Amino acid sequence: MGCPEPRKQEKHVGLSNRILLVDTEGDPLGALALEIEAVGFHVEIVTDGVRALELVELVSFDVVILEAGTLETLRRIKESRPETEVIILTGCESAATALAGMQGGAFDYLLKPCDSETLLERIHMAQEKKEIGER
Amino acid sequence: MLGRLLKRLKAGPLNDGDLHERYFAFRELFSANDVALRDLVGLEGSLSETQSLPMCDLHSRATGFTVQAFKSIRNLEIVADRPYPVLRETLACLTRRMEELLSGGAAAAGRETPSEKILDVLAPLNLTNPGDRSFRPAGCRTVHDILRFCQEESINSMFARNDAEAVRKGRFFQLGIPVPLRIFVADLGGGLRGIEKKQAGIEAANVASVPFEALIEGMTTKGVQWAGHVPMGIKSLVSVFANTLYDPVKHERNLGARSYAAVSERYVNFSSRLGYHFSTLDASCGRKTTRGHISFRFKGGAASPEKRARRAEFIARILTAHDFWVNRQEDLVNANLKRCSEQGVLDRLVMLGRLMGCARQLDVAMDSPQRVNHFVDLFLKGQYNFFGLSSPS
Repeated sequence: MGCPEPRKQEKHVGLSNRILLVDTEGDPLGALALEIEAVGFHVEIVTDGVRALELVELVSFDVVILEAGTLETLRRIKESRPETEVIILTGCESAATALAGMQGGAFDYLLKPCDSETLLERIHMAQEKKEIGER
Repeated sequence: MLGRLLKRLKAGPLNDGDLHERYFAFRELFSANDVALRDLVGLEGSLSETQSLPMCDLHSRATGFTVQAFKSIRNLEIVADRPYPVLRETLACLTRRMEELLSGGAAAAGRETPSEKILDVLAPLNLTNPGDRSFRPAGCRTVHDILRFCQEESINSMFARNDAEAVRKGRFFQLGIPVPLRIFVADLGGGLRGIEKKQAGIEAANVASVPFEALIEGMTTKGVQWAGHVPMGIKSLVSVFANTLYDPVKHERNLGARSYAAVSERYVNFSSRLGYHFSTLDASCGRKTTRGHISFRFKGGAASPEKRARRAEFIARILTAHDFWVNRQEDLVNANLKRCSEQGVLDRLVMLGRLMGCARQLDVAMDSPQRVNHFVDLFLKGQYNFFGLSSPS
């Protein structure tokens, strides 16, 4: 947690090992962040979409993990950083919302409760996709 | 695969990144199908016990199936390099139908509970025969149909429909090494050397791809048991092959087993579809860099689900011992190694070549969990001839 915030936009190539957790549902994501950090990622947590977009503008995150009700945030992240992969992690959402999220460019759409092993596997795959896209 | 490769070869050397993308999509498609089919079995099992599930549970399951089906379509479009608008529209219609059923706004004749109604949208499989005229996007009536279509179509796209034509045109070369696989190799640039005009077959000496050389070294390691009969003493064979000796070499030949390698000087993608099991390996290594990677995926087998799962556990434990990040679900193994030195990649490719040989027919021998420990110990000690049979010469 707490990677330093740079003052200018970072270059868009390569993996940064940085993950942004956007916790708009007020769930305690600290434990999840610790598990992700334990395998070598730097994790930043923000609690609203506006702050998330500000950070994404400045920092090259490999993966952004968004919570529910954030399709507009997803759209703006993909617009600003098309190379950044987005995983939506949410509760009991409708199939139509999930489909809209996937059509909006999300790499994956995971339902809570999601075990850390599954989430880490999807983060690794999202990273691999990002890396392939940049070759 | 061949159609696209031939098109690209005419235009010049293939772009490694493009192949990476297609193979990644292929793996993702299979992963999505695995998750969805496993959940489908779970849903059917739950409904056979309770007849009905809580609404929130149904919402979650409908969402999960929708996501996996969408991922299958999206990845198929990358693998096949073409859009599938009918599949996308069918999925959107099925999703709307599930939403209506879950909100109680739609009637379904003959069905009592929302759970059963949802199951009707998800589970029935109408596309059973790939040779049938209805086996096409417009024939998909359920989410299961979409998953089935995507899987079959992706395999057709990845694996050559016409090997002979490709070999005749000199695009693919059949590799002759002492393993019981029919390996066809496509050179993406700098991956082969010393090829004469009209040459169809190549030997290991023609391989200039550094990572593929390492893989071949592992596959042809003395003692690695690719060929031969599994001893009758292994009781599980009886249940699988009805008191006959299981000859995997003949069996795979009969099933048209083919393997494909797409290689460049510093890259290899190796795919095998060996009758009942399937594996893909994707690896690259740079000179004096730590940007090398390996991804490996293995699934399937001829034996019972328990034995296949034990073989997958064997593979997973070997890979974990060699620093791979590993995810195993039943008989499926996904493994990755990233940011590795050149030598680190090459050492592990030698190991993977040995592992592919040793694991190939091991599922039928996995009578008990203890056998997993036994074979893991042998492999890690460098004893690859698990059944004491002679290796291929």
